[in-house]
Amino acid sequence: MKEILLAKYGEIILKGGNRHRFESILMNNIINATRNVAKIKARLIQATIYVEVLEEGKTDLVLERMTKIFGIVSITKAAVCGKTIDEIEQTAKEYLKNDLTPGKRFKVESKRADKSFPLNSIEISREVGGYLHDEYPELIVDVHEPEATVRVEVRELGAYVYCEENRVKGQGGMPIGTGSRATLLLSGGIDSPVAGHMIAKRGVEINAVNFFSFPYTSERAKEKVIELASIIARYTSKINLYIVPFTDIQLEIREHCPEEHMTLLMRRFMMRIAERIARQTKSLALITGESVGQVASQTLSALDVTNAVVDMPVLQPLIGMDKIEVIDRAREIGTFDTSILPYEDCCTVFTPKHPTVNPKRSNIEKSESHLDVERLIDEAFAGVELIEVFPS
Amino acid sequence: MENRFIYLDNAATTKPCKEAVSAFLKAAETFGNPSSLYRLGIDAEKLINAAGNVITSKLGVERRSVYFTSGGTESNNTAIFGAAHGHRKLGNRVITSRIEHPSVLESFKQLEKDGFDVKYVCAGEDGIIDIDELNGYLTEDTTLVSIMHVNNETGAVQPVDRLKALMSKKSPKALLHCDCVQSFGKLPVEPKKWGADMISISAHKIHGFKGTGALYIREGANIKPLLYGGEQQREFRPGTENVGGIAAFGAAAGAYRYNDEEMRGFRSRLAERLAEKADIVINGSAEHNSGSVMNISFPGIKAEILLHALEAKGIYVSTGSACSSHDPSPSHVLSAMGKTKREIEGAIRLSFSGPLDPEDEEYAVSTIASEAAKIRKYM
Repeated sequence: MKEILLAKYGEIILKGGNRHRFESILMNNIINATRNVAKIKARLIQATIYVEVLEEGKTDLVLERMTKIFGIVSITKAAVCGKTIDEIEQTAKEYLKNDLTPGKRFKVESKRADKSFPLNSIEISREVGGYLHDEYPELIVDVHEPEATVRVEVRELGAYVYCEENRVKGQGGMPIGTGSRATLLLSGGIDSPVAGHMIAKRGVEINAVNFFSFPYTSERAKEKVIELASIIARYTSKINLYIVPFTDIQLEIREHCPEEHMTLLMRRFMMRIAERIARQTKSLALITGESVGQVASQTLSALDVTNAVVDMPVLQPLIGMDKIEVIDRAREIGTFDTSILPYEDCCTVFTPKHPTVNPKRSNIEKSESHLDVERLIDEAFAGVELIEVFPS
Repeated sequence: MENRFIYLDNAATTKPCKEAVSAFLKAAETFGNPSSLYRLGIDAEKLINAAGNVITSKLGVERRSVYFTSGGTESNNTAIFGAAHGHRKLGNRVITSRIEHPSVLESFKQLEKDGFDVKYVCAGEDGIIDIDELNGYLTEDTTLVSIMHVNNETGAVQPVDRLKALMSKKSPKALLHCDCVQSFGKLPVEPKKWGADMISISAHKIHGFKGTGALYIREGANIKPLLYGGEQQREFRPGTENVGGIAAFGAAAGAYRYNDEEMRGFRSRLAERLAEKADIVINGSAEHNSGSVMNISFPGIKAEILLHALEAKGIYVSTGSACSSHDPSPSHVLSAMGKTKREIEGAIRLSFSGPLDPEDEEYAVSTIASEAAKIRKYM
């Protein structure tokens, strides 16, 4: 029996004149994301994507990949057959035999897109339902609360049969590449990978910046960040990860500035360097993982102090989320287990004991005046290492 | 000066020597299953026996009493569980020390959960177990005493040769197990002389490969096996033998040379030179030491930062404790020795397989001192 994947897309359908552009980007993304999995043939007809997997036994792998492509709302496997009622009935009986087990409440729902088919949708449902009930007499017909909804779709290229309950949820969102590019400040923590995923979900291409404090953090910390990037890349395809040497800046701050301002001063440097990388990589915004009030450096006045140093939008998609909600998201996208590995922020050398909670711009600027900001940024920038991270 | 490579973590693992590598390659050609009846199998079996002979002659024991394992951890687990459970009818008390390797300590913790009466002997500031305390724990119903020979974090040599005399007076039924993973090849390991019933050793600490070890069991000791399966190794340790690893183990054991007296001198000299340049505390006995391990505290410094700073300079060392705000796991060995928190957090371990050449020694001493000073500035 021939099997196919049917995918539905979501918000694109609301697009007007440029809908075609969104569709073709999505189709390209599907081809790219499945390239290393199997050869496929993908077609888009009337807001449904038909994916034929041309290699035996790879259908589930392709389906799994497609659940990570932004823009797709749901995917289902379906059996393909010829457009006669006999074939449809035979196919439904055979293909859904594991779903139509004794005692199950079921119903049939049909759609006739090909109006040349002799039966209308109500007649198809009745015919197929009657046939399945005859073949599997222990089924119970229940059109209100079915446990198995048999779907029959008669379309231009053929007829499709599947069970609605087997439909798999997709990511939703917009296809990557439809929304410019942004630069993610990626730490080893729980929040920033989630922030990156959320913005990418809106169709924005992502690159990432990480600040590396060797020897105060280890090579393992760097490997952890690369692994996090590779998990995000499952959704976005390749990510360019820029590793910025940050130790000298931290040491200078530690030496010349008040301890309680340390975190904020560091964050201001991070934002400036990230902005420079963003401009160079044609990113139009920065992405960070802050949520209001989570830690001292994420109070509104702290956010004011850190965001003041850049002149581009700073996207903070977690801003109103609770930690527990962020953790749930991190689990869903698969970054949580990596995020909680212990290698980050070795020791507390650069964490003030009593950080300022309500900083003022003028005070922080005064602390910062002890430093040669431009020189430090230039030096860090000169040592940036680019790592191309592929999906893991 | 750059591109140095000074590996000072030989207690963690060692680089396979050329004898081990060529023995492994030869075994790869002689790829038959050692249990097979034809020539290729017999040849593989011969490689195992040749390696077995090298190791048993070093230990001064019979070939029949040595079993190859997957390494020190398996050897220790087999000895401890095999003895404790195998002799449970004879008694419920088992004794070890607080400074053992985790593969011993965790096994005893499991025995505690299984209902055994476990006693843990403390160590003094010199890193050597309190033998009087141990003596006090010995009872009629004690079935097992497990004490390591050389401690992996400090190099301190434990009085394993004095235990059996105490045991035979008060605990005649008890077996003595010694974890000799850090000492085999470096100091004389003499089960017969000590009266040890079981000895664990490992290949990759003496320039063999990871994944190979051995366990000596005195004949008649009646130890319960850990694994069940085929009839390999007298059915005590079934499973197709790791021929390559075993052959390499034999070759490495045969080739390894270590002069402990010279190494104690080397260790003391290094300690003195470092003490001239930095504020340090050397942990554990210098006199009763294998000479292969030097544990140094830089009080007030976080050891892991120093480790990474040295890594950048081509010097590879280890820390006893992971330095992370999430996972504060201080070294259980240094804690048992009564070291302060500052000393424990600032402790690195240098471990040697032989002396350094003078130029590397000079570089190591001055680099360790200067990197420590750099870090101290910001702590």
